[in-house]
Amino acid sequence: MIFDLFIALAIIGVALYGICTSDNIIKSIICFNIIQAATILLFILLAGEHGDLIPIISQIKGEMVDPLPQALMITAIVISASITALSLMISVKIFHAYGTLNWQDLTQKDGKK
Amino acid sequence: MKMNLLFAQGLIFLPIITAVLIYIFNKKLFNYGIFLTQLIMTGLVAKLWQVVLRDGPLDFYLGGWSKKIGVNLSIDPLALLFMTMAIIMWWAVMIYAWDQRKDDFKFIFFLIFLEGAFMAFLQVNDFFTLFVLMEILTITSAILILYKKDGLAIKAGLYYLLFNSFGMVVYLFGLLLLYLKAGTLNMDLIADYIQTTNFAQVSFSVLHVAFVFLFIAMCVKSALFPVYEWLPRAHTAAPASISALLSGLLVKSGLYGLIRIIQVFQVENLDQVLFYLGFLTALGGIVFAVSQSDIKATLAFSTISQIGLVVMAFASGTDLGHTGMYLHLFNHFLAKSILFLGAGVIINAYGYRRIREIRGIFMGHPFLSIAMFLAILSMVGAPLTAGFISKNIIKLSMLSDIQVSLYRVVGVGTLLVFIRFSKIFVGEPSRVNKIQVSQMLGISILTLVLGGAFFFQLPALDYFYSNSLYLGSAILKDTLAYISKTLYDGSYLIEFLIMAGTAYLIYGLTVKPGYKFWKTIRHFRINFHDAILSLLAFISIMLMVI
Repeated sequence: MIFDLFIALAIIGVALYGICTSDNIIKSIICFNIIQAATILLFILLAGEHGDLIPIISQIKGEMVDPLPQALMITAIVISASITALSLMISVKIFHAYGTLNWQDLTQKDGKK
Repeated sequence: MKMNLLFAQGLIFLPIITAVLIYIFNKKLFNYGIFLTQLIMTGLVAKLWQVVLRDGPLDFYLGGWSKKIGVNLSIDPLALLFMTMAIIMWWAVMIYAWDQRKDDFKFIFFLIFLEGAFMAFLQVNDFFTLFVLMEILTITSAILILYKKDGLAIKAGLYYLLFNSFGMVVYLFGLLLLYLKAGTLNMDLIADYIQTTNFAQVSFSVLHVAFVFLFIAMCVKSALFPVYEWLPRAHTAAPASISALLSGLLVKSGLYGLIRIIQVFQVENLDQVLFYLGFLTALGGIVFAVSQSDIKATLAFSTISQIGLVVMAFASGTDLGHTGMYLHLFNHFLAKSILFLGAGVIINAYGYRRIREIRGIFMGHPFLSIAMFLAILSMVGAPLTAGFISKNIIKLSMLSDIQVSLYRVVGVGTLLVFIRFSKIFVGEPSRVNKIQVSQMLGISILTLVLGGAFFFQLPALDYFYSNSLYLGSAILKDTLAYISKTLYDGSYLIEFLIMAGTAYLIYGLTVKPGYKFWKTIRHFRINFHDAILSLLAFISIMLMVI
């Protein structure tokens, strides 16, 4: 359990590092996607322990996983997917308009306009 | 009760269904359907006002689920106030954009879809649905921002989308911590849970961290000081009608969330932090607004400063401060929408957007300049306008002398921004274009409401409190009586004139000569990485402060 949490937090850390340092817009979007996935992972992890049953009424008695976070996180995954799709679409447009996908170059072209 | 639920859901689903129908059928005739929808929705909001004023706030549980896990809609006067604003705003924007966009079914689709999402956003009573709807608002408005698909707009759209979504990841993180502690995401139940813990006494707990994350996410949405950079970009690049929509209304969705979160958590020691946060936002907005050469950028930064002022009023935590805040939200929404719509007309007519080059609006567009001038007067809080009432209530709500003087600094700054802005009215017009009828109609709706707001605001407040609909306390009622008596005597007028004189003096001494300092500020831009870093820094500072 602790190990899982550590992994999820580490992924968040890596993605944060990536989002702060990567110059490429596509990389930023990927890092952004990763950070969302890691948060969702964390949410799911904290909802139950190892060895808990799936949340379906059955003969087997025992501790069940909390189903609410899973239901919520499916929505969050959909949102994350649509944001990724939209931002990738915009970056295609940006490449057509400016000929670059570099944040720094874009900022410089901003100054000229 | 069943009917009320139908009304509440109708507000959400009517626009969305209309949008889908318009998109599927793609016939010009269907585009006129938005006006029918809008008419029905106006009726629904009026009906809900009547019900809420009679029976108190409404609560609905969708799908028969229990409160703990289900989706819960709730309509209270605050939500209704925002709904009224939304209805007025969408009327104005639809009519304004009609001549230009009546065949553009995609634009109409997104515009009316956004209305449904916004109505849903105002009604939900749990944090997760709030999150979902905020994301829908972000995505839809990002599409509308980059609708023109020119270089500046797509860049602004990407910046807006990514930065706001990053804010929402922060929100999701806060949600996680909150769910771990409270076991539910319903706002009422969380408020009850927080009552049982000694949240206010303990200096640090998981709940505090959760609060900070939610709070910061809302600060991002409402463009408070260190995380404001997306707003001027997006509002400058968007089409005029969308700028008005974003700057007048959608920016306030962040404030609405902020109000809700603070109501739920009831943090004790936040007053000072919030006040100085608001003050910094207001001051920063003013300094940037004065330095900008672009007419829309000036207005966008002025929005930031007004949001700062609203947060300053909110920070006082008193009923009076909250009243002032609500009124000012309303007045700012009207005034800023008029200014943005007017700026759209001007940019269309002149073809360029530098304040220094645009002259002679009054000669060229007398009607437009009267509307815009009224908006400016209301914005700076001149007597006999709606802004005068709200600004003076905010001033009365300030807690200490320091706060009052800081408020005056912001007031003078706002005057400074608009003295510089109003230079566009004087002089000879270089070019006169005919203003479209629909544009004129859209602006005149807002102007009429703004003009009327001066007369109906105080009676409306009086009515609310005499029926103890809000948190109405006796003290507040006395203060309101005091305000309505003293508002019209000379002292306020004199104070306003002194402030205007000071602002003009500052304008003549510092802004007019055009020092290099302003140029440096004008070109100051925070790039995406620095914006994310400043967001992270903001989180850590808030974690230390709380």
